[in-house]
Amino acid sequence: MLKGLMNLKRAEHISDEQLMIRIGDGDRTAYKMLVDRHLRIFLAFAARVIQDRAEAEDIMQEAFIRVWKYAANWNPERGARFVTWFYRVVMNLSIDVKRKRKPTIELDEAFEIKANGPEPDESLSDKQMAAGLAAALEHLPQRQKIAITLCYFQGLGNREAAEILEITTGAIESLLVRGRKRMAELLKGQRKEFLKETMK
Amino acid sequence: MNDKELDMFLRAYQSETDQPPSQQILDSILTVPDRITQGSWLLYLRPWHWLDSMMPKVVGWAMTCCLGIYVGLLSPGGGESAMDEEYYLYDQAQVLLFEDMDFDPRETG
Repeated sequence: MLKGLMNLKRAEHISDEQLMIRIGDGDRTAYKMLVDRHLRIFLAFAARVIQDRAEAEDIMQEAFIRVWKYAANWNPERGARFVTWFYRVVMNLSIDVKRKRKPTIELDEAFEIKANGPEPDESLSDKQMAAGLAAALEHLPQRQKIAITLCYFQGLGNREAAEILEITTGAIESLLVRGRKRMAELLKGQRKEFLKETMK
Repeated sequence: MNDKELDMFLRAYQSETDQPPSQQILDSILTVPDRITQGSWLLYLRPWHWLDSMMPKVVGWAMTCCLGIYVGLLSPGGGESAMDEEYYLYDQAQVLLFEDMDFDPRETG
């Protein structure tokens, strides 16, 4: 029991990069640890970029296949961070999937998604707000959308997001400002129309 | 829409899209090591591997050979060795020597 706890404590201190080296040697326990650490965060990222949960799961499957295959070539001397590399892998896979399919949800349709109960006042339910924002995100240019996803939903700093997108921090800030402005414009118009209809 | 309202939308979207992975996908991902071979000798049996990894090397070697032949042909001498040239000149000198030789009539009698 005590030994197990000590192993668990030690495992927490192993970096992702060290785990990659172990995975490269065929260590399945290290692979499992990496999956446990990152699956939820990156699945949410893929789902936010492509806005389809089932496809996001397929992407994660492919991404972890690449981890398993690529780990043998992982070079710790290059100083690359696993998280940055993996964000790029998931981002590129998501962009590929997105390119192959048509846009799904229109902005005016998004607010029509009904919540579980009736809406007594002017407020929108979380589900409606989320659907509205998802539709607004779909209307943004890809880089703006990914910058917003990384910084606002994935909780990354501007520097980390800039590293993933391979642009400067200034460029990230600019993408965020323009993205926020555009989303506010899109949501403002649609929300008013929706409220007018529900108040009738 | 002001910043505060937009932040409400962003928070709602964030919480709606942050769901734990299903057991099915977790199991499927955890069995990847059982299903996928990790960069072993089996890779060399796949034709695309040869195309991917061997073709650049083959093209590189072929170009190096072509460049070597081209440079070799351009260099002075055109492939004839120095020793051949000396022999050739030596033979020529011999021929010339015999052609210019003055015969002494007394010697021939």
